Amino acid sequence: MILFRKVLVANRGEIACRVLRTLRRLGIASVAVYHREDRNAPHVAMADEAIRLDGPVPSGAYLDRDQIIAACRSTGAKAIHPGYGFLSENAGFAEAVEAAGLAFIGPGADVIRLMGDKIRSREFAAGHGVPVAPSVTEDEAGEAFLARAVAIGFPLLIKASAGGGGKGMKIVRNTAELAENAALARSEASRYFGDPRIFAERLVEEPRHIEVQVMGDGNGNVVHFYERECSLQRRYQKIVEEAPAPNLPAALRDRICAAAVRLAAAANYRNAGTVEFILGADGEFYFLEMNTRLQVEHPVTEMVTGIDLVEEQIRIAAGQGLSFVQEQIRIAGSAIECRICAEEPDRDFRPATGRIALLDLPSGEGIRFDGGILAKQAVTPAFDSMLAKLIAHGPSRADAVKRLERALEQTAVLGVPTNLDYLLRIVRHPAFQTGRLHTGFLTLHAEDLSAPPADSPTSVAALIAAALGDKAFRDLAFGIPEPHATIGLWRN
Amino acid sequence: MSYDLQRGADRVSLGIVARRPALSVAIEGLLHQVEEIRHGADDFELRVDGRTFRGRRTISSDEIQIRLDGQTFVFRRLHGIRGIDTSAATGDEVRADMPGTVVACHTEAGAAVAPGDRLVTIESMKLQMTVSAPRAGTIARIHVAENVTFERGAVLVSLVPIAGEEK
Repeated sequence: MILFRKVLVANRGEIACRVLRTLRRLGIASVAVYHREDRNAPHVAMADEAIRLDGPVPSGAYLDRDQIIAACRSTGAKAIHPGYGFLSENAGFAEAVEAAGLAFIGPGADVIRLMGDKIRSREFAAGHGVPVAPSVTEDEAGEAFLARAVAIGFPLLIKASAGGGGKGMKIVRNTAELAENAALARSEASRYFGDPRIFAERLVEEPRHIEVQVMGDGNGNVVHFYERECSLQRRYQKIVEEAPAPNLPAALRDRICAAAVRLAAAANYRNAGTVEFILGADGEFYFLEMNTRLQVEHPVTEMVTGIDLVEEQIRIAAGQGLSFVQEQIRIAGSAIECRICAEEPDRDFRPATGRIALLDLPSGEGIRFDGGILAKQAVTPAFDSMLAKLIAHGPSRADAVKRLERALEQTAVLGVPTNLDYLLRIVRHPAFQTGRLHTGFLTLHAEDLSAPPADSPTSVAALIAAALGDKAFRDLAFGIPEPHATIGLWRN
Repeated sequence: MSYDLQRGADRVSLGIVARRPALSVAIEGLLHQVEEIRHGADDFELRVDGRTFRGRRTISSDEIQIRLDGQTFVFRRLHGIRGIDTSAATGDEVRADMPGTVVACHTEAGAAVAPGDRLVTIESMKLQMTVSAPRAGTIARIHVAENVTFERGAVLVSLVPIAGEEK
């Protein structure tokens, strides 16, 4: 059955390359778009055709919907895959694509809008039996507030209604502490924000970030592809993700996945989406948001289910519906993904730039490397700092961890600082190996995860190897005849 | 004879103590026996104190980078580099260590600043960060303005010592 004759990929980097691989496998002609700065990027070389987007700044070019739709017209592409980021969750773009008679490989504009609105999506979730973190807002009267707060259950977090930035926040663990802390929070709210009203919400301690991959046909039929654990985050961005979530009781997993399907089905969700939840140590979970696109971390789901999610996206966009019923989707083993970023973990994860002087890619059983980088390529500040994703799959989580560790050792990126060493320290950490994960993990173990001291035998060998790379040192060590060397010493 | 490399904030000396029968190198007071087994264009194999190390190496005009046993090491080359910018070293010029765009300036020429005071907020690779004063001083000049793009190494702000202060 014919899907599309030609598809345009409106993205760059690793995700553009990843989508192009599936297009090639399906025998669909591909069109890449690129900004001048990306003219030598791998996605341009991989596609059958490439159209240059003009614009003063590179990221702006990939956001230029008119140029992208025009590129479809000029090449005859019939559908657009937006990847993630850029225009992937832009309802106006989805509308414009469909108005141009093209297929948008993603959900409809109305659903993108609904899920893109924090307040509306939360109300929608609550209205369809999906748990949201309980909270109460103090109204003008303020009388019933304490009783309503107690009804939520402890521990509670009390914040200023008008506030932000953590000012005036109080953690309250029992009724005895409540009245006093509420009064204190009110006075602080009044002082900081000029508005004394406060609100209380359930505090989730040691929260885990659990998300469910779903796929819908747009007619209320939705399947899930189980969950991913994405609790390891720095600067509120994920860096290590895995499927399935370790140490998650089966009954709880079923409830979380069912909630995600309920939400997507209620929205008549079409195409791939991810429902994100926060999970507390007490087993309570709450809706965070729904991402109406393919996620960065989708490969871990593909590795454990054996299903190409991009192919399914294309089939749904071509009107073929879902290829699977729920019972056919099964999990085999465990998969873990690391995001390799150009950044300096020891300097507060500051993004780094430079030119990739040397690149060694890992290989081996169960190893997948989704990259969009080449040796000699410049890493510029124009885009996100993520260079590639390394994914390891194994029959058990312990096997996946072992394979990931070996693959991280094999990988080398020189010329640009990266978080490779930091990722390896995470993967080797006992708490990671036993799957004791929560969003505070990297902060809690910051000391263990910091760079080791420079006096180890490996550090000394590295220093000597560096010196031996320099002609000046080689001349001293080997090159200059002895008498001259001695004179050199005197001169010094 | 010694050869120096910069490792992080430290300058490390490798002293050549003997060349025969084996290369003997002193580093931070300890002597190491070194045998070079392979010297490739971007890889190496060494025996240091009887242990074998195989790794990758890249060399640029200012840095030597090593990947060894799952660890990355960056060394700055010092040999032959003359005229180190002493004004930068004393903090009189605050430079950008990566290219980016200025989001906001928090100070103005003539203002007195204390160490750690915010000078400018810059954005690089979609992340914002604050450049702070490395030392106390008076702002001599702000070389950038909001929305101005700059390259790595560009001078953002010049500081002069506060009047009467000993340098």
